[in-house]
Amino acid sequence: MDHATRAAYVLLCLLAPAGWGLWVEWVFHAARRRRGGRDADSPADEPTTGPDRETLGE
Amino acid sequence: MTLEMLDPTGVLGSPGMILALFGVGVLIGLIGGLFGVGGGFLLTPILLLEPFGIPDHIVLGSASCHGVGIAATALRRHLRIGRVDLKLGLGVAAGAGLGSYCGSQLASGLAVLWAGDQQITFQLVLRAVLLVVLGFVAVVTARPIRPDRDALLQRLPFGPLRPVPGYSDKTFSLSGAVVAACLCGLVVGFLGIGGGVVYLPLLVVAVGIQPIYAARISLIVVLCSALCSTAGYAWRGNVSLAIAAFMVVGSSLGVQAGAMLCQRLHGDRVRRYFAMVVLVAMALTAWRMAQLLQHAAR
Repeated sequence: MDHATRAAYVLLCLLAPAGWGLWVEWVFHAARRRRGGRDADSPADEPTTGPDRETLGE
Repeated sequence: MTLEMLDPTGVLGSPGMILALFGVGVLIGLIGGLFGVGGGFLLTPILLLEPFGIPDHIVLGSASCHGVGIAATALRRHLRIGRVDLKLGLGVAAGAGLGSYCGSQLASGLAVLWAGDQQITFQLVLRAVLLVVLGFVAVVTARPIRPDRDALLQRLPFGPLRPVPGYSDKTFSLSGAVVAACLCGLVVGFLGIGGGVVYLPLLVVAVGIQPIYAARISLIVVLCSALCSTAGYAWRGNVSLAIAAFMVVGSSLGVQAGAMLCQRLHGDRVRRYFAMVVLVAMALTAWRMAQLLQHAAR
């Protein structure tokens, strides 16, 4: 496999999942806004990563 | 670019496998949305199970690639809210990224070194490291961390010193944080997990950042880490984009359902369920390890 093909494959592996994830997030965010319920950008709506905050003593 | 590159294990030819990967993606997304984690710590043990029949190095690369999608989604939401400390996040992310890339190269290299008859050595080492990391997550979950005492990196005298987010009178060693993130990244990249369950405790316990700020910073660190380890695995041809794609599609939908479920659960219950998920991941890994040992003894 030549380096150009390999580089293209690496780029595809990075951009495809990120692009899909961002697109889905954009779609759901737009749907939340259209519903006009709770503000989609409110801090209570924040996702986190790692063990939940209470676990970490917050 | 050939079909063999995108699908080295022939997943596209098996509808049952496609459905199973999509289902695993939904489950991981659900758990991610429910507990605020990426779910990589559970994804790798599940994909390493015998019924999937996916070679270990492809599992690591594909799980890593899946982590990119999840981390990008979560970071996008936080950036919209506008509360991510980019400067600090990028500093620590650089260390984590370097470590993750090295971890992916280490795993890919060992998979080649221990190919053929010695394949079981790689399989056992991988699962042993995974068990240790899951044990660490279990301890973190069981024992609440109190960030009120001076953390390790706040006592380290090596500069540059940076103020700890959320405190006006505390500083921490940025160089120490970068080195620690690099070491954590090495393990995260080796296991092909997103690493939120490793980076968040690092930021809270070792750096002493309040969890609310640490959660935001860790998103940048996790994304950078996932990007670097995926690049490392993909360069060596160890990513099955087909496997990753079906899981990302499933988990991007599952995470929305998980986030909705999370709002209905009490904090104590969420924590108990999270501990159970970690124990399940440990049990799956230990079970597969026992199977491999039994196979090796024959």
